[in-house]
Parts: sequence; C-alpha cells; structure tokens
Amino acid sequence: MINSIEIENLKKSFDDKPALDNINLKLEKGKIIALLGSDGSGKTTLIRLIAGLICCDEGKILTLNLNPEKEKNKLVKLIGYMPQKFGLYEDLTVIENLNLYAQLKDSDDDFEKLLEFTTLKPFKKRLAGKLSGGMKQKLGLACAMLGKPELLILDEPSVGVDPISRIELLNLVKKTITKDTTVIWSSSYLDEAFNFDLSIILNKGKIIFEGDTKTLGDNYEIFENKVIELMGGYQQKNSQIALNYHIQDYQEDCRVLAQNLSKRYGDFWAVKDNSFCIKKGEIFGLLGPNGAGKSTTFKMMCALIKPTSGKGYIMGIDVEKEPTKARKYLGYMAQKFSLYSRLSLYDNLEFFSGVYGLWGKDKKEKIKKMMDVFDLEQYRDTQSALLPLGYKQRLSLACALIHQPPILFLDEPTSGVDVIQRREFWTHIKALSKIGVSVLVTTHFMDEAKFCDNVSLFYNGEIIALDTPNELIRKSNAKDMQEAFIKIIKGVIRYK
Amino acid sequence: MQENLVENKISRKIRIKALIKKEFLSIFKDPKSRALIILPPILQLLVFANAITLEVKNIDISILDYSNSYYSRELISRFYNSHWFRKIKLAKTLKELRDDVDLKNSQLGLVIQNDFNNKINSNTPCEILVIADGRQTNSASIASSYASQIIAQYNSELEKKFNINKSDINVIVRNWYNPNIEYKWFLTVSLIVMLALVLSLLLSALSIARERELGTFNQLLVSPLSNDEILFAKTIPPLVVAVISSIIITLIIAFCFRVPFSGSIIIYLLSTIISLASIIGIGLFISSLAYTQQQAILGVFAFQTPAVLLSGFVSPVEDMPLFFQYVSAFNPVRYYMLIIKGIYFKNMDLLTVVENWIPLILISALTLGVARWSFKNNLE
Repeated sequence: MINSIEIENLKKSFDDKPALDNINLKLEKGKIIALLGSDGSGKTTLIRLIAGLICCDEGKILTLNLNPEKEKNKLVKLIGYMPQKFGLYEDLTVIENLNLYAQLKDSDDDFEKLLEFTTLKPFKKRLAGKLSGGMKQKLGLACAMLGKPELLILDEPSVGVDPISRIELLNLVKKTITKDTTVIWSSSYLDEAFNFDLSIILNKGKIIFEGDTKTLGDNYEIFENKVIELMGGYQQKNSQIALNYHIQDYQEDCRVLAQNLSKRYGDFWAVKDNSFCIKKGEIFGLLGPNGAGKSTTFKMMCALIKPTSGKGYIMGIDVEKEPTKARKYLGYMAQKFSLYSRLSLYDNLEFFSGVYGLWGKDKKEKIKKMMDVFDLEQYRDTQSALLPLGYKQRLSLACALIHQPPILFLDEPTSGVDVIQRREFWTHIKALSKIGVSVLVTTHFMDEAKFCDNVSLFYNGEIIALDTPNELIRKSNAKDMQEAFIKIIKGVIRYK
Repeated sequence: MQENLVENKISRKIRIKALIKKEFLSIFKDPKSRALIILPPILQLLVFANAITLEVKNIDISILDYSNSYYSRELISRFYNSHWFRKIKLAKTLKELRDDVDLKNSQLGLVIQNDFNNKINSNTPCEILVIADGRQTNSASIASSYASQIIAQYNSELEKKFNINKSDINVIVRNWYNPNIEYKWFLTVSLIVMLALVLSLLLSALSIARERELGTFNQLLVSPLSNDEILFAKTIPPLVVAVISSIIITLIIAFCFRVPFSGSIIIYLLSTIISLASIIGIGLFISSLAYTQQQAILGVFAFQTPAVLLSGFVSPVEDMPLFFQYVSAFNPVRYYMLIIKGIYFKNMDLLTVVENWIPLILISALTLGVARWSFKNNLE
C-alpha cells in the first residue's frame, strides 16, 4: 500500500446542489497534506467522506485500503479525526478529557509526553472550557492523536488561532507522528500551504490544484496571485461605496481614543493600561495571540464591557457615559455572520437602517444605494441564512455602513472568506479610509496587517509594540509581518 | 439644544419601531415559531374541551346482594336507571367484589346485607356498605356521593310509602354562574389563561436567548439602541401576540363552545394586558439569564409548572397550606386566573378587579425591573 487514500470520480451533492464534483485523488502515505479552500468549497464534505461519516453519491473511495462506507468499524481504529468544533467536554479538566478519549480509543498512550508537547502540563487540572482558543485546539489535537492513528484528519484546526499557536499546532503534529502517518490538514489560510509537503486546493467543489505548493510560486505573493488566477481571477475595481459616502468634518483629532483602558478579572489583568488614538482616515490594526486582550479592548470601546479603569472615547464622547450617542458614529462588523439569518436580505438592511435612526425617503435611498454598490438586488428576498458566503460578507458590511458612520469597528471580518472576497473587502475598506473613515480592525491574517496605517501588537493584555507595519518589519529585522509578529511576541527583540 | 432633544426623541421612536418590526418578522417568518403560536392553542383547546373531564361519568359498580329481596332489587334498579353508572355487575361472593375493585374493574362496590328486607319491613334502621376506590381520591368521593344520593332518594321514597316524616328540611341546590355545573366551562375559561401564559412566557423567554445563541446579540448591543429600548421593544411583540391569541380563544369559547361571557370586554382586555405584562417580565428575566434557547425553555418550565399549580387552577388557593398561600401572593397567574374567571362568569365588579390589578401592577414593576437589572448585569 503506497497510497493512504484513493478517490475516483467522486460526486456528492446536498439537495441537488453539488458539493463535490468529480474528484480524483491519490494521496501518498506518510505525507502532510494541506487541504485548502474557502468556506463552502467542499473541504469538510471531502473530509467527512474520507472518514466514512457520510456516503458518496457516485464514485469510489478507499481510505487506508478500506471502504469507509462498509468497513467503518475497522477504519475508525486507524484514523484520528478532529472536527471543526472538537467535542471537548468543557466541564471536564484537561486530563479528564484525555483519559476519556484514551478509554474510548482503547489506547495506553503516555499522557505525560503529550502534555509536554502541547505545553498543557501546567494546565492539567484546568477545565477545558476555561482554556484559551489556541489551547483548546491543542487539547483537541492531542485527543485526536491518541491511539497512534495511521491517518490523522484535521478539519480547520487553525481557524481563529493566532500565527504563533498555528505554528505550535503544526510542530505538535510533526513531533508526534511516525514516518508512516498521513496527515490531512484543512485550512482556509492559503499561507499555511507553505508549511506542508503537498497541498490540494478546492474551489466550488472542484480540485483546482494538487501537488507541491512551491510549483505555483516560491513566495507567497506569487502563489496567492496564481491561486486567484486558478479561481477565475479578480479584477481590481474602484470601490463604489466611497463615491456616495458622506461624512461630516468633525473637529476631534482622535476619532477613537483609548486612555489607559484596563480590565481586571480577579487577579488577572485582561487588558492593562491600553492607550491609542485613531485619527481621521486611519486604519488601526489590533494584532496579538489568542487571549491577549484584543476582544476585551474591542468590547470596552463599544461599551459592552465596563473597564476597571481608564476611558474610551468615540468622537470625544465618553462611551461609558453616553453609549447610545457614541454608537451612532459606529459601524460594527462581527467575527462571524451575525445578522438575522431567518430574515431576508432586505429585511436585515431595513432593520439596521431603522436601528440607526434612518427613516422615510432617506432610508429607502440609502438601502437602494447599498444594494447597488454590493450587487445585492438579485438576493433581495432571499433568507440571509441561505446566501452564498461572499454575499453574507457583503451584507454584513452593507449593514455596518448603511448609516454612513465615520468610524468602523471590524472584529476579524475576513475569517473563513476566500482570497478573492478578502481582496474585494479590503478594496472597500481602503477606499473608505481615503475619504476619512477611521477603522479599528482585528485580524489573524498577517498579510492583512500591511493594509493598516498603524498596528498595535498586544500580548498579555499590554501593548508591546505600536508602529506602522513597515517600521515593525524593519525594526524587528524580519522578512514579513508574520515573522515580525512572532519575533516580537516571543520576545526575541525588545521592542519599545 | 431643544431641537436636538426633539431629534433624539424621533430617532428613539424609529429605533424602537425597527426593533419591534424585526421581532414580529422573526416570529412570523420562521415556520417553526409560527407553528408554535398557532398549533398548540388549537390542540389544547380541543383536548381540554373534549377529552379531559372532571366529571365522573361511566362508573362501573359491583353489587353484592345478600338480601336478594324485593326492596334490594328495587334499590338496584335505581342504579340501572341512573345515567352515571355504566356497567352494573352482580357479584356472587365478597371475594369477587373485592377482586373487581382491586383490579379496577369497578370503581364502586355495594354490599346489601341479608336482613335488608326484614329491617325495612319492620321499620328498623338498616345499613348499606358503599366501597369506594381510595386510590383515585377525587373520583372515589364523587362516585360514592352519587351512590349515596341514589340511596337517599330511595330512602325518602320508602319514607313516603310508610308515611314516616323524619325531617322537614329538603335541600335544594342551585349552582350559580354555571347552573348545570358544566366542567367544560371551568376548563375552557381556565385555558384562556393557560394558553396566554405559555405563549407570552415562551416568546419573551426565547427572544434574548435566541439572539445570544445565534450570535446576533452583540450586533444589537453595539447599535444606538439603549438597554431600556431593547427591553421595551422585546416586551411588545409577545404581549401583542398573546393578547390577540387570547381574544381569539375567548371568541371561540364564547361562540363555539357557548360559554356565556358576562363581564365588560374593556376591563377584560385591560386585565389581560396587565397580567401578561407581569408574566412577560418573568419571561424576559429568564431570557436575560439564558445563553441558549434550550436553557430558556427549561427556565420556562421551571416557572410555569409551579405557577399554574399555585394559581388556583388545580386546587383553590384558600385550600393550600398557609405557606403556599403566601407564596402564591407573588404569583401573577393567580390574580390573572381570578380576574379572568371573575369577569367572564360573574361580571366581577370594578372595585374587586382593581383590587387584583394592584398586586399585578406591583408584580409587573418588580419582574420588569428585575429583568432590566439582570439584562444589564449579564452583559459582561
């Protein structure tokens, strides 16, 4: 057996919508393979087919020389599978979770070694629910690797995880597997492909690339452009949104101002003495590992969390004292799609415009404009849960922009979105900043940091570096933002 | 400054209107929640009105007649002619009768002694044993009272026959407000309260929990809507839906089931609104604590069952142990039940209605206040 997985003419559709279309694949044993593609490209469907969780419509699959449909009992003992949301028992401790999965898998693995590799040893007795996002993923991975599986299938282990934890996850896998173990690692980060032997890129249910990543390009930019080309290309357009966008000229120098913001939970400082100022037309990026205090800062600036000390101002208005007044200047876009999924696209736009005080003719015109700019007319009455991902993203942005706010807060706005949509998204954001909109953005995509005017690096609740992206890269002597990030966070370079 | 204030007021109105509209849309656009509003009330109405009955009809009785004489057969024939009794079984031995009651073949047992005939003829008092099944307390007491009624009637017939006048007092019972003691009346009108309770409680309890679960809550919180505006806008749709549904149910009960409505419609409506406001306060409180819809539904059950039991629907509040009477003083369902039945059946006078409004208004203020406080506290 040289191939761990063989797939021929595989087809699978859900409700007549093809999820996978004519897939042919041979995966060599003992390789680490990246499975790349945006949300909805068919990654998860392919993984579930390989693991025998669902059956295919047409074609043939052989996983470890077994038919996953008929010989599932034999197969489950040989594979380790980590679904997107790994089923950790949040009310059990780290060690109890490991024990449980070890019993389920009949394995007598040495936990000590695993705990050491995962750096979870000091947290052995902590409840799984109390771990940070990165640590949860590590624990999930450790559980999936119990019993020394021949095939390890990881479904987006790095989603929402910071660059450092991502590298740690990969190292963990590399350290614990044997030379015969095959690993399938799915991801929506294209840049992850650079760490793997092989990659498969899925787009709309089809394989658009299979093979050694480096054949597409030696550096990431060339590679990304190549992928975009394969996906049908993207034409750089001017953003229409900025053309009809009116913001008043406000006098405040600092549109968004944080003054010594701090938040303490018990003895633990989630955010400590955080100050920054975002000027007119500035894109300000908040970067940092999971649990560094980014979202706490974010929430304090929206007055969703009360700071222990310090003040936040939006347009000179104290957000804590007059949240309603301050929020009028704010457009907010959350991490995951957080509009009303049961309502139609139009109802959502109408709701958000109403909530921001628009009415009558003005409201109708502004909604119409948004529909034109983002090309939403065709989906006007579609329930928003059923929209294609790219349109959900557009609708979220449209709802955040409908009242033409001078300030935008974006909380990991692009996670799970494909390259083309990310490019389009940033075209809009850059155009808005040119006409004076101030933007506060958090992201785990280091390549997005280069769009920011200023970047603040967050670690353990404190700002450890605040500079322009180019300066950060230069001062830390790195080749790109990712390297600079890792160097600064790991304290390789004292940055002050 | 003045202008600013007016503008603020206008935009507040627009915001609240937008949120209320969205709440209605999310109730009615979702087939599941639409079904939740329409199906259960209709089903419950049908079940309550037809299947559940507190009346004890169709009683099966076993009779052991040791006497087997003219008078005993006369008495037994009275049972045959009563519409309460369905099967009359003549047992031959005491064991047979015991087994019948034991195995629930009969709800009642009747034992006539062998000196029955002689004692009647000789005008000496005689006894008849009625055995009731104490495992079903309620129907046992009702069934045995039917039996004693029949026996008492036969007794008075005998008195007439032998020209004895033992008593001059004849009892005449007249049932007010429900002349024929139709249990359907009692049940269906209680059902108005129960259905409005479930509907308003569920809709309000789900409203915030649903937003939390689906991740839309933060988006709502960072909008200019203030906490009070959100809470106010979340009160209105459950209130409107529950009031409309209780109007429809009232109409069905009044016209289809022909239970006469005797009070003032305006007071009836006002009472419904006040009562439901206090219940929605509880629903929103539950919702502010719940992070998923499942938790919210569990919270609804945790409140609903004791609230109904302590409302006077199952047993009158006055018959409860003292402690529970105090507890039920805080139960909005109790006052709601009282007013609705009072207005429906007997045109309760305004003063009494208002007397019951006062605790309801206090409870509304309390529950909505607690909901507001817990809503604010659970933001972090």
